[in-house]
Amino acid sequence: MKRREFIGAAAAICVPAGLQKVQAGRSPSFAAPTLLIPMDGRQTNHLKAYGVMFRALKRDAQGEWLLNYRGGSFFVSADADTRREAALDGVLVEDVTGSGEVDIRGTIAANNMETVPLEKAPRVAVYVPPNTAPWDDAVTMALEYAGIEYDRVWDPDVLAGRLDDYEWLHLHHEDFTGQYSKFFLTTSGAPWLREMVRLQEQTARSLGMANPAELKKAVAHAVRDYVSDGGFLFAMCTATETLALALAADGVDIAATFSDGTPMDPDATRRLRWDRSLAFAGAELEPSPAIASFSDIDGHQVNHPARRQQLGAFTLFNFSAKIDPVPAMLVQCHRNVIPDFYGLTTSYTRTRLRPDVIVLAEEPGAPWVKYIHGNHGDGTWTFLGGHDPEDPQHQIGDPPTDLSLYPNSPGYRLILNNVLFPAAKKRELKT
Amino acid sequence: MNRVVSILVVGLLASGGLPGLARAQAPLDLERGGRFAEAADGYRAVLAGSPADVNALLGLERVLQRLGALESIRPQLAHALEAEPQSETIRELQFRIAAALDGADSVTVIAAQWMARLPRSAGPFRAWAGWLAGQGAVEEARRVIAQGRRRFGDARFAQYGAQLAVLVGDWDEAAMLWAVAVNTSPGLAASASAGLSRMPEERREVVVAALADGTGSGGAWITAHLLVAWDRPGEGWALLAATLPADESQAAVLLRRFADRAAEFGSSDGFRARGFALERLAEVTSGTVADRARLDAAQAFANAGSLAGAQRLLDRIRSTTGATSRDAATAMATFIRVLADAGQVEEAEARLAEWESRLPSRDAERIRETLAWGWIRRGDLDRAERLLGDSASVGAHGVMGWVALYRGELAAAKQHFDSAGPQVADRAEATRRSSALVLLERVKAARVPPLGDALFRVAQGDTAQGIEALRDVARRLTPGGQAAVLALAGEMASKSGDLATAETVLLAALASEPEGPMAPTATLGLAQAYASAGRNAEAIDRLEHLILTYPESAVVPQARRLLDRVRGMVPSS
Repeated sequence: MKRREFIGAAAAICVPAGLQKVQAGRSPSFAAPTLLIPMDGRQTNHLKAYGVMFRALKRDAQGEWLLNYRGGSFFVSADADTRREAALDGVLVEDVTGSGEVDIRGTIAANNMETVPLEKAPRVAVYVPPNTAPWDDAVTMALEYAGIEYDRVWDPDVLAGRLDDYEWLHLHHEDFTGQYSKFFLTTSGAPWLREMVRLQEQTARSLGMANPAELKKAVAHAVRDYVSDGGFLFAMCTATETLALALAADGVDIAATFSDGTPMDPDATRRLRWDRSLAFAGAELEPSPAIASFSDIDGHQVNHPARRQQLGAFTLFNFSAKIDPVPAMLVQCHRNVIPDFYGLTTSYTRTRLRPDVIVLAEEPGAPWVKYIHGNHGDGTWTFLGGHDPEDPQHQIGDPPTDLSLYPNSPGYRLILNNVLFPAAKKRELKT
Repeated sequence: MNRVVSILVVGLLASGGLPGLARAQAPLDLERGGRFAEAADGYRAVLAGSPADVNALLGLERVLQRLGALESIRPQLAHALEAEPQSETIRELQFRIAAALDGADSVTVIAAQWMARLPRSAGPFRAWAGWLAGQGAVEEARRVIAQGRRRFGDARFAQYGAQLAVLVGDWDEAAMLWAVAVNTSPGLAASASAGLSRMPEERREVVVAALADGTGSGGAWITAHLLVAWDRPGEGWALLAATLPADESQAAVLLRRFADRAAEFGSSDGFRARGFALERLAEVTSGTVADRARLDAAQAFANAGSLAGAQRLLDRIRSTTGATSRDAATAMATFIRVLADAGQVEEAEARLAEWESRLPSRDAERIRETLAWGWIRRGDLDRAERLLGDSASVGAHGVMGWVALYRGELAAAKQHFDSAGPQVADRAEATRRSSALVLLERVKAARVPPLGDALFRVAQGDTAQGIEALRDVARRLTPGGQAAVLALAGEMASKSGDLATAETVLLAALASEPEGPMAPTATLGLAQAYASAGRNAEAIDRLEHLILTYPESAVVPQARRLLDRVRGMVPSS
């Protein structure tokens, strides 16, 4: 059953989507022998473990996510294909006997742990320009490395309604304000920027839009509708902040002259409509077209010399797996504290978050948080700040990250939690 | 910390600040002890008696910042301004406080007041422009600098204006202003080129032409540095050499900066240009500075592989320093190594004989090892052995192990390698040696001269003949030794790009002992050859077989990495 079909069914029983629970606590006994994929410090390749699990689900194998049990381990049917793939990928698996499985389930029942059935590998789309290599985006890098299938979608696909074909959508460092990440003035003449401008302008023209700013707003609306209809959205870096700004700027010019031919509305900040947006409210726009920063949503302001903040480390919240399995799934990790990493949008200022946003990770004591989640309509969104968890000071033109050197990356695990999250079987809230 | 304090004290003495410093000493001690609140009280007490005491005022600013209470400095600041309205330092402090605590309007007003009170000061223009640039308002900052230029002329603002022009990509203006700044301060040429080197490639020639047309030589000096940054150090040196100023101190600054910049890129041309610049530097300086420049020049020429240049400088050093200095010995050590690497082993050995007593013993040992390798490459194993003599050093045992191996004395080779132990400074040598030890382990014979001969051919660069010889030798060995020798030959063929031979030899290695201990290595070699040839499907088959069949093999991690690469799961480079 598709996620949104399920949501539709659930909604029919008058349960708000945001309150739906994944089906948890059931303890199906596996008819076939079971493998445990441990995800604690003993796991030899955490990232590829997600791929092994994803492909097993694709083959209709039975699977369960054991939240908070040994770093968020998995049960999966012990079929020959799964064993073979785990061996090839260097993923540690352990055979579990009948009594061993009973012991594990007993441990889970008695602690802040939970089992969540995984029923179907989601169909994954990544919003990315057609001319980019997968190595420029942390999510596509993680998907490629883990061996998780995905399709690329771009503006024409989004506006043609093709997002309906997917359960999970990722946006990376796209600038939905249509200002080329505001590198236009500071990096003028760079070949990559010229190519970006050419592509965006050509795409806008081909879709009947006046300029990239108008095009990106239309795409932002389509993405919001996708979530509203039950899609899972995961975004990182600039995409998170600029998506929210583009949605709030309905009817307001927030783009600089170089983008749409007219300067930003001087009263733009006041005219933003946050009720139409996701995640944030009350942000102040950055008025200078020469500063590669969009607003005060980002806590770190990496490209603003006077406001740039140093990197620290962020801490994942420990959610109750039995009561809050959704956020618990998103923070499964073998490390609780993770070094921070910059992006054009690195973090989210606490005072700019809407009250209903769930904070998944924060830097304790700092005025910003790192990782947030929330519901919109029948779907959910999850935002992670920063560009590349294993390249904390990423600069344009840096060599791509080779994930085979970081098979146990806790930061990349957060990304892959999001990919498996839509596979969790949903059920209506017990009240 | 003590050094910082001494520098601070010297700075204050030089600026005539001793009385103020004495008054502010007690709170300064409290500040150093981290007792900021008490220090603030102390500074306030000093300022109550001497409202314009700059040391106390700056101290109060520091500790209030640490306490997060900068706002509370305003009364003391107001009194200080009343007492000494013409003080540049107090005006600057007022500006900093406004910049930190107030908005743009306040900053603008205070900058205007500063300009009005001190009409001959360039300070307010620089401070205001700096603040604006920090806020991202680069164009506004440029307008402020333009005002300053109109009032005081280009020279006083050239550097600031140039930096701002770089920020917005106004390369013509940046180049013009940098040229003005460098005319006055030649030492800025390196900074100028660092900013200008980021200009788009298509703008380069236009900007360089504009720099050449400017007044003075500043443009040429910047261009010389830019050419280094654009990987044309030879042209850069030619331009700089032709335009050096007559003033020797200015020339020395330019030459030193240019030489440092030329070394940053690590290319032969860069080192050669550095050598020429330092050689000229030695001519415009004297005494130890000149000696040092010659030594560095010799080192640079040696790094560039320019033996004649290095020798010329070293001869000069010997004639001027009496060849006794430690620096001269260090430079000579490098030179000898370069001679050996260039195949001039006799000359290198003669130099070693002449200098050995003045070299540190560890350096001398290493040079002997380098020279021994020089003889090995020349094909003279006996001379290599004689040179090392009875040395019991780890490095010497390593080299002797190879000499024995190339003679086919396998037992002796193993003994030397065992004596050398596992610690090898060079990673490539560690890999080669572990391959050799695997081979020795598998061949299980004390003496196989044809095997040594074949390996020696490969070491001398005759890879094709060496591989053929290894295949011949393999036929005469036991299956285990045969597989090991063929696997080695296949790996060599693969590395040399002869993929057809690599495939044939590695398949033969696998056939000779399909389940033996060399099978994982041979399979990996075969997969590498297939991957290099773009035969990814075959590479994947072999790698999957290897990983699943020999999960405990030491080559499995390598196999997984290669599998990721041929499947396109990680970047190819």
